[in-house]
Amino acid sequence: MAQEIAKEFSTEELKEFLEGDLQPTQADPAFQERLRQELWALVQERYGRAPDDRLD
Amino acid sequence: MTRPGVGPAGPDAALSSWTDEALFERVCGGSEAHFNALYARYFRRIYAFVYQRIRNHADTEELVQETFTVVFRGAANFGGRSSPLAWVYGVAKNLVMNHLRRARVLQERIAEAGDEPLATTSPHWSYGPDDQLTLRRCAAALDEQIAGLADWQAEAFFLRHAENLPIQEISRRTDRSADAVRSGLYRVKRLLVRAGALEPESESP
Repeated sequence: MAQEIAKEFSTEELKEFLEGDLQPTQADPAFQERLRQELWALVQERYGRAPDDRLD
Repeated sequence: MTRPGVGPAGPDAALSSWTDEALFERVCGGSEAHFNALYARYFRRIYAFVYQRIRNHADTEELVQETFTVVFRGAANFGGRSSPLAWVYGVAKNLVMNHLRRARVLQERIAEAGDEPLATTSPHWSYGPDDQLTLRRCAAALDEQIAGLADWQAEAFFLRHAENLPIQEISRRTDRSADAVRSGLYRVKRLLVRAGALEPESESP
């Protein structure tokens, strides 16, 4: 898998991308939640909703 | 009742060990819990990546939204071409590069224009009587719409789009709730679009 990724982007690029997880978020929490709701609506519209949305 | 992985508590910890591939698969099956886990996993890294390059919260929010929209629209067609991580990164990177390219072209045009007045006597910029009438109508409509705004709404619009401040900071400066700021910004945008979209009265065919 790592080799496959490396074909498209350098390891450094992806590492930097992942380092975003460690940074304090500068995003507006209201934006984050609003976007989540909008995207979930999009997902439901596109793929439907699982009849039994359980964790397993 | 709070469903697993839904609501203010955020994604369920039980999903933290799931691979991206497995989460995507369940999202395409319509699972909200798995969608929440994937969204939470990628939101911060995408936002940080975009903001580091754009340095503007308003544009960053648009690009983050665009990235996620492309990703979730295409999730079913992803088909394991590469890793989800590389795919999402590629989408975000392309959108950022396109945005920066457009901004650079705009800057170049502004630089080329120099101190020249925007309305020149050049034939390319000359308008006929009909065009001038349309422009005057648009300007009048714009003035009318802007006059209807509360001072704080105009200020909020300026702070957001000229100074690139986040909603929370605008909320603090204008002493309004974040929702009120958001609603005010939306109102200003609508007014501007309405004024700009004003069409001259159509002639009878």
